[in-house]
Amino acid sequence: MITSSLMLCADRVIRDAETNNISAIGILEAITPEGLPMFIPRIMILAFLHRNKEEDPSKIKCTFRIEIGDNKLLEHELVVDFQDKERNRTIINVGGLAISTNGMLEVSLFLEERLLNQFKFIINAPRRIDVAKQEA
Amino acid sequence: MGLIDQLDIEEINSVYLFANTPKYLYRHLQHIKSVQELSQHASLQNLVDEYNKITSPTTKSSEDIAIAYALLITVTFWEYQKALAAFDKFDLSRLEWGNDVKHIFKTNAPINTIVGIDMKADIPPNGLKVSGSSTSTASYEYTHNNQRGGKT
Repeated sequence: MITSSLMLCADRVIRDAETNNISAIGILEAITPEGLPMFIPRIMILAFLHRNKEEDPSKIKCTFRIEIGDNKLLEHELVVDFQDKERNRTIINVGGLAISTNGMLEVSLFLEERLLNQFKFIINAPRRIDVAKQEA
Repeated sequence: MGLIDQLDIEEINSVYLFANTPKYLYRHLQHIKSVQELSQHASLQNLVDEYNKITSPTTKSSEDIAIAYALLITVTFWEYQKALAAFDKFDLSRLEWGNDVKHIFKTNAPINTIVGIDMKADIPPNGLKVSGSSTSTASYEYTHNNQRGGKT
């Protein structure tokens, strides 16, 4: 059975070309925007996937989805190719995301309709700036 | 100029002499520039021919063994499936750590799938009052393994 042991969103996910080690920098936990709607220029998603070589195919078609509340921000299909290995690291680089409401942002990875893994981070309500107070 | 003449034999030999584990040998031979360069233009047949020549029981000196390992490491820079098929052409049992080199290559790291999605936000003239669902995407994706520059 295909499983996922880790999923996270970060500002950067880097693969070392020499060692093939993965580093995640700036893991997203909460964002407090100055105002809404807001635009995140880049989100990188890292997912570790595992398969059973005897049971599972080497190529699978996954869907990942980004949602906030009932609002689906992005849905994308991707082919994950394990080749002859049991593990795969999938790195998804989302080059920009427009967010119009605050709430819990959910990034989910599905195999057909089965949820493989999910990462959530919060988009806080914008800070209230008291203009009158600032002017005084 | 033969294949072996293109290798920095002194450097390869010193790595081999210091190597106490297959992994040490693998990692350090991969760092040698002449080995990296050889991987870019050597053909599989030439590598196998040289390997067979220097690992035959009559000519096996310490330096020959070091070079034989360097020839094997050359293959590890190739694209994954091509390299895996290439390993089958070598008689790995001729070297003590021959099968270890292949094993390290195979298990060193899992496959990576990299997907990029460029968002083209459909922003109305009155500003960014738009939900993300009205964005279109353009994407690219590829899969690669632990070779430098390896890509399928």
